[in-house]
Amino acid sequence: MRNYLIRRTLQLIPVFLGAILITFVILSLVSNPFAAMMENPKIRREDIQALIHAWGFDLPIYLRFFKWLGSVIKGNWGPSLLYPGYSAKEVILRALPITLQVMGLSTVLSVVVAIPLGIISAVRQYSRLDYGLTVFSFFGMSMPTFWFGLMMMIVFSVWLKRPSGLPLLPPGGIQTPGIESAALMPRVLDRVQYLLMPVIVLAMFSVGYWVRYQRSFMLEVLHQDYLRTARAKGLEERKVIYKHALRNALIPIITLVALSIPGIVSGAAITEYVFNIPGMGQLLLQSEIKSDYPTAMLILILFTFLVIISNLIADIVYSLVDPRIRYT
Amino acid sequence: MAEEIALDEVTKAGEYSYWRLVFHRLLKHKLAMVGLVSLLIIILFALIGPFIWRVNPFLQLAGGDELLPPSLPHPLGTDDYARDVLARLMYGGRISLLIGFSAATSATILGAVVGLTAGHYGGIVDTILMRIVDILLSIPIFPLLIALASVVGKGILPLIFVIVVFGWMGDARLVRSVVLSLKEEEFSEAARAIGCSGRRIMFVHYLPNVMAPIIVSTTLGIGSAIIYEASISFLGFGVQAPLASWGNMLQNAQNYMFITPRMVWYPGLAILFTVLSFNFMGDGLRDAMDPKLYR
Amino acid sequence: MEKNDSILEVRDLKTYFFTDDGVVKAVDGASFTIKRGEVLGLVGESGCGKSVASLSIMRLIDKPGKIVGGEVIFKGENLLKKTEEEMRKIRGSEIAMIFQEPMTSLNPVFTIGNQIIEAILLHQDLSEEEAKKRTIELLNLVGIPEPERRFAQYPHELSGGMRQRAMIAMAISCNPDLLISDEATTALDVTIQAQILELMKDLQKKIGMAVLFITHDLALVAEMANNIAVTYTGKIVEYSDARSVFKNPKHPYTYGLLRSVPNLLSEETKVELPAIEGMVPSPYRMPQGCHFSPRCPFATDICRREMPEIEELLAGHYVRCFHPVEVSKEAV
Repeated sequence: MRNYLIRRTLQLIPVFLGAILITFVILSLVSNPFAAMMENPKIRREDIQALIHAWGFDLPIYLRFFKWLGSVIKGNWGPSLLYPGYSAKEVILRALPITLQVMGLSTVLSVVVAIPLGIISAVRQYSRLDYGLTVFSFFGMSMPTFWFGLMMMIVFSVWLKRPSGLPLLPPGGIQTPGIESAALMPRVLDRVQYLLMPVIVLAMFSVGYWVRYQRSFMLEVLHQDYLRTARAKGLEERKVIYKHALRNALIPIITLVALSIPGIVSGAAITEYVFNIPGMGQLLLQSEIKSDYPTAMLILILFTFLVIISNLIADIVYSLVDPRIRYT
Repeated sequence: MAEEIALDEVTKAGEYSYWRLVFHRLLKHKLAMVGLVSLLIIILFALIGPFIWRVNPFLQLAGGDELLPPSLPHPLGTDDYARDVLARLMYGGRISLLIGFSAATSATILGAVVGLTAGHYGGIVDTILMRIVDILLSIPIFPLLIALASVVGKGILPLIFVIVVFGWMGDARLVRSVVLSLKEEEFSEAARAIGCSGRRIMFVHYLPNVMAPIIVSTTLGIGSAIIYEASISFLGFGVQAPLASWGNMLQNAQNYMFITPRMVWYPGLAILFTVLSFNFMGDGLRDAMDPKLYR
Repeated sequence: MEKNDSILEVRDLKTYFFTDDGVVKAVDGASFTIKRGEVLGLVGESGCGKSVASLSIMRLIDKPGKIVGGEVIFKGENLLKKTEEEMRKIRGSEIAMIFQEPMTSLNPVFTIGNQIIEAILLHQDLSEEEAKKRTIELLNLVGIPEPERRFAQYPHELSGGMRQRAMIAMAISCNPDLLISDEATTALDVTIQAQILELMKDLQKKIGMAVLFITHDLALVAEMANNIAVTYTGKIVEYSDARSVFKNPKHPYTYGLLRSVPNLLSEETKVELPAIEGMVPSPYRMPQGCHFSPRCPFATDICRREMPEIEELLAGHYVRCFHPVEVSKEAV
């Protein structure tokens, strides 16, 4: 197992480097990344010059890459251009836990909802429940995430109001001003009310896909010969499905979730943007829109890293769960 | 049991060609038929609609006529620039459908070519191409789309370009795996033995077998391309004003969301039902072309 | 009253499949009897309904299939009238079944030992420890070397032959009165096939269980079976003891099958092996009259119009034919 881990990690390093390179190349195609900054009266000429030198823009592109990569590895991520006065690292690290909350909660929600629904859909194939769930998953897959977010906001913040006249759920933001001083429980509840809509919106897309996939995995398993053997032994139908079939049908989900992480990240970016949540996704989009390319690159790299790590973890979990894949 | 029924399918198939069989199975698939019908309605709406509803989507009416609720001259009301929403929805449909279709088709073609090449030649070519696929799949697509869009500029062609650049990978992997399994079959050995060139083998022999998953992939890809277009235009890249697309109509609508929420409904529902139809059809096609018999 | 040494008596069993494309009469009036400790060979080409018949006995037929008629008398009771719960008690403990593909018939995510123990604990009141001991004994009995090691292994770690042995161990774990072997050796290499057959013969004598041996391969039944039933398109066309069927086949189909089996004589004289012309008809388009008539060299008008009933031509030798074969076959 240890050898396998080492081997896999070594295989993944070139992929990671390749991703960094491509990100760098794309974002470097922008003709003059400092144009916006030059216009900005708040930033001094000397600072811009210092940046140009620090980022290596006075060097040809291949040297620039290594200089930049070097400083990133050393931990020097440069200043934030969106938020002058703060370093990029500060800005990113402040946004990181929020995005992890949003993505994490949403993924957990998707798994908890989609897997059982997919399984039931398969076990009761062709029933009305199955058709209903099929249509529901198609809706989930066909809706633009940001539109669904807007619709949710309309329903829960405009149409539905609390007795006090305030919206039922806040249409954006991450916390009520002044809540930092409160105790743990009120803070948690406060966070919940702000995250409720975005998490559901982000989960919706995945749920649609995963219900369909889990249904088809389960259907494949339900047609396997070993279930017939189990029945021939005299096993009751419930055990045949929930012991023999399920154990096999849950295995592909691991890969599915891992492969969906890039999609979840994309979805998180736009969900944060729509709901005005100060996470890494929103930061990334804002950086791209407002031309803060250095920060954008860093965030993209962090996200890529997340994807690669998830794939590695998925491989490991898979090998633990499927006895046919055991690495000596 | 399964063998006995399969035996008969084989006998029946001997009478029909493969595509006729697919067609018949497709007709039986309820969702696919629903999708097909609604797709036809939507396409008619976008393409033929403007000839019936002859209103200029760019024409800004008198000031003070902004954001009117639905009325007879304007069944869907007017937008924030006092333009007729119904007309914009139709024209926007043309653009969104055009972008969706061209991006998806191009991406599939690109992916298929890469997949055929990687699968057929194998070796170092395969390794390099698949590494590139792996790399591109690790980076979250949407932010990368925006990044590339900010680089290549705004507009329709850059938008299509951007979607294609990051949309071919799935098809490449799919086609490659089909080719790999075809390579094992005897007809491939036979073709090689009589000296077919690589290109000939790829296009004449492999391609027909790859058509089925490609068609499914393109159909589903149109839906996803439309969503990408909407998302990118929503953020300000992509289709620019005064041209209408369902995506940039939503961008406008966002500003007035709390006052006139119906502006968010119209283009959003249009996108939803269009993508839904493509997805239904794609799913039906996939089931119809699937050699296994259970759905 | 049935003879009280017959363990299974199938009478006029009918199992139909109601599909979108029509009704498939997979088993259409099959009758046969197996006595205690005897082996009945059920022979026929693929798609003739043999597997369906065996699954019908176990009541494991699922939609779109349905058992629409007949009786299955096991130890004096009609299985078709039993509740699902009663059937579950019988499956695995009194009637056991082994299948064709050992690769896919075992659950890949559970160990061999685990799957056998499951069968034991389901029907016997043993502790887990005792069940484990019994399992290892069984693995030994079926000829698997190093049974303790194999106990903890997964199906993919065993060869095809060993997997089938494990399946057999699982099947006999509760000392069933009847073992149904559904083409259990078809997917194995010839040498392994021979070994498994030997094992089955051995066990059958040791445990004294009856066997319903389903196969398309005549050579196999020659070795094992006491009686043979030949099926064609869901009906039994010839039924007698093994010797009679081989030496004196009466139905043209049986005759054709026997002639097409290679033997030393045909090897030496390089005589072309006669094959039965034509193919098994599609279940959706059964021919009128006798289903074998399109392929039968002896068919006449009446054969094409009417389906013959099964009749006792000679003592204990049943044939379903208007023109039973008169030639006596040389010793095979």
